[in-house]
Amino acid sequence: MADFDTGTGKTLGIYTSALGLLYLVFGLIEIFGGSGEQVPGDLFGGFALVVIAATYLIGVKGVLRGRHQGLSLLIGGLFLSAVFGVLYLLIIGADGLMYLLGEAEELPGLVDLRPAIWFFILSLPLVYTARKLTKRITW
Amino acid sequence: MGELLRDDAELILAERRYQAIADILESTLTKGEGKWTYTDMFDHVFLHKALGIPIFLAMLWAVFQFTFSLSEPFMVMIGMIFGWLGGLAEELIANPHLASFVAGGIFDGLGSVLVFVPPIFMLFLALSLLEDSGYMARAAFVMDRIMYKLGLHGRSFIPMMIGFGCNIPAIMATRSIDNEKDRMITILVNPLISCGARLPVYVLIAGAVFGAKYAGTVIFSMYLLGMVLAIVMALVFRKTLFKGKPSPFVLELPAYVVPTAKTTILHMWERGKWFLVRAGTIIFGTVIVIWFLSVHPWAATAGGEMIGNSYIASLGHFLEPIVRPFGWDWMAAVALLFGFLAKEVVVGTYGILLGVEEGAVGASLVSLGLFTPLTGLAFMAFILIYVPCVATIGVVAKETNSYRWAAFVVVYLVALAFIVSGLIIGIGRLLGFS
Amino acid sequence: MITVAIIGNPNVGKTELFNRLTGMKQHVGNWPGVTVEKKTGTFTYRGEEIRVVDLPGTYSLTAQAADELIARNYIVDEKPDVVVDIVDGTNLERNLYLTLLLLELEANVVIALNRWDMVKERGIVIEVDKLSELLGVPVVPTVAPTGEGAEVLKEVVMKAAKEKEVRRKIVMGYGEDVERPIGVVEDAVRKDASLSGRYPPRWLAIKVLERDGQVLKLVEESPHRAEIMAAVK
Repeated sequence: MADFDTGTGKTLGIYTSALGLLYLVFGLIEIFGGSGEQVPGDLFGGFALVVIAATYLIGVKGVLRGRHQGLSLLIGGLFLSAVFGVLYLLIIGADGLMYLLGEAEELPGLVDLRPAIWFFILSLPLVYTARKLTKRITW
Repeated sequence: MGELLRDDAELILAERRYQAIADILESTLTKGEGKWTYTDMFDHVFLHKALGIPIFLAMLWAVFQFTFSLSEPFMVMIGMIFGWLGGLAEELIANPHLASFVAGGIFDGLGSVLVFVPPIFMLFLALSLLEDSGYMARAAFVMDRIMYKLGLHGRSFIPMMIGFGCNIPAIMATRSIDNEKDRMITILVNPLISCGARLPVYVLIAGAVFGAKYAGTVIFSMYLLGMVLAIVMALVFRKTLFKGKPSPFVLELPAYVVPTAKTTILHMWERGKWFLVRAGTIIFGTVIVIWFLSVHPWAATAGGEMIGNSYIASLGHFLEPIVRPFGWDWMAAVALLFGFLAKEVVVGTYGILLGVEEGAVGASLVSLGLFTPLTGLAFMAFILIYVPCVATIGVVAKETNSYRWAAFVVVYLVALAFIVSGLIIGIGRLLGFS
Repeated sequence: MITVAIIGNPNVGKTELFNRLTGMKQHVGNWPGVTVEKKTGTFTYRGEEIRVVDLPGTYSLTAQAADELIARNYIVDEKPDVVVDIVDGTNLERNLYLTLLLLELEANVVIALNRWDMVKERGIVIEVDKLSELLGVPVVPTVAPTGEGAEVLKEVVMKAAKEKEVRRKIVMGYGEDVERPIGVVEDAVRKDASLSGRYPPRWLAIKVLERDGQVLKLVEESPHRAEIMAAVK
């Protein structure tokens, strides 16, 4: 028995798995020392990405079947994506302030956009679809 | 308490049981079409068997990342203001004693502590958000799963979380634990939870020896180390001093709420205010004492210019042999001694002894060769473990109703600090670090 | 040998499930001193023999009614390895009351969520995992007449028996105004090591506050009775 339309579920599921895999791969890269300036080595930051990945990926099955359980994990994942995406955006803001104060050599640029920010942007379309599916849900 | 329960206790209790059932069913049962609520959805994720604990750790990391990274520019601003004021004071005040007091005591000493107002308030802001939203109760519930297996009570977790702010309210919060043994264990290990006052020391040392890139990871590791040690010690106490089983976890999951700016900021202010009060009282007082000892005898130190001749240096050199094996010098010995009163003083002590601007304290720690990454790490671990502060010990004495337990806490923490820091140094040297 | 007690409200399919588990190996007798029927049976699961005791069907566990007292005394005195609480999935509001009482007794509870077929038929959705999580006990959906879920139940019961000591205990909170007196009485009760060794202290405290006849009698015999009763005041 599906709780919502499985057609939507399928689209959602595919997108979610792709997003989850992205998080997983980049999370692992960050844990194991990073790669270049864009993906710095960051043990716990990488761990957080892997947790987000797990939340999405565990939910995929339920999403494909149109179950609330899956949708919950998807929304939980989106919540975590937002927490970390906004967090790193704020950090860029703080870096910008540091530049204005003369404490940093250069203004933060594109290279400082951590994967968590890119993926947060990539997760936004899911927010729209999830919002449509949860329109009638109350607290 | 009597009136409520005297006659109709049975009825009241039965009513409460039905209320509890209604609460449980509210989130587990849906009649008819299978209606889910957002509460159900978030609980499904936050209480998830496999994801619950990892998500909690990730959230904790977000909290600390928020604290360190976002407060940096604000710390720099405050440091600049103090630096400027200090320079002004030195120029304008003619009396050399007074000038030294204002520049060295107030601006270098107290200033280097006040610089940490932003991270401490940010930490409280983030913790208030977690608590007010209802997430913290879920985290406690999830953590209870492993805590119970380790012989700890799930309720011990809430005092642990409060301890990230300050150990004093955390130890007072253990009153909600009914079982005396559970409560004692929770009190005894709570000082191991890294409180806000220790944060300035970590930020200073980690920033200096590990650089901005790794400082966050190192500092977070300190917090994790504190939690792990707390759990290990609780296990030890459970097996030795307080044998038995933890009593059952009492189930209470508040509803989720979107925290309002007003309540969260109020909450933050209420907790953060404590830091300002301390800065104005105990920290200020201690800093004055340290400044005084560092510029006297006035003639021999040339008004604080030659700190090696000061009283505080003699005191430090006297204590130095104790900390020498860890690779720390006399300044560290003095800082640790006065840090007993309040941990923030450690930072203030370096501010005075090095006699440099707030922003430059970290840099001179490294350029003077006072700390290497290894000795710095051991120093941070020592700061984490050895005695939280006088006030916390006082609260332990009050809450356990015994000075003996308070003394026990001091002794075991100092011993543990020597062991852990010793292990860090020993293992580090074996691995070829210096 | 592992001993499993079966309990539940009247008319939830308890006898059917008991028969499902034990098959033909049953023994019918009386509970000592009363004319209430006592049924026991055995079954073997993965080479281990399990004894099943059918407790009287009750809604509550007070000291006033004979069958409730039998059930309660059996759980506190005989300490069965597992207590299977059979719960009517279509009437959780009423059935979980007994469950909460069992949790207060710190029994090693496994919930058999019976009438699962009816639950589904009526379109009721029960979050089994979450219910299990919140109560801190395993929950197994069953359908007694068809035997659906009986094998899973056996497995879960075995696992629960093995993990009896490490089980995480959860009880409900009564709200701060009631928890405070409970805590005070509990601390007093704990001073009597033999009493609090035999019975869960929190349970004793709750029962003292409820003026439970049997527990008050136990307290009378305690050397610490004055302290305990003073705590109630």
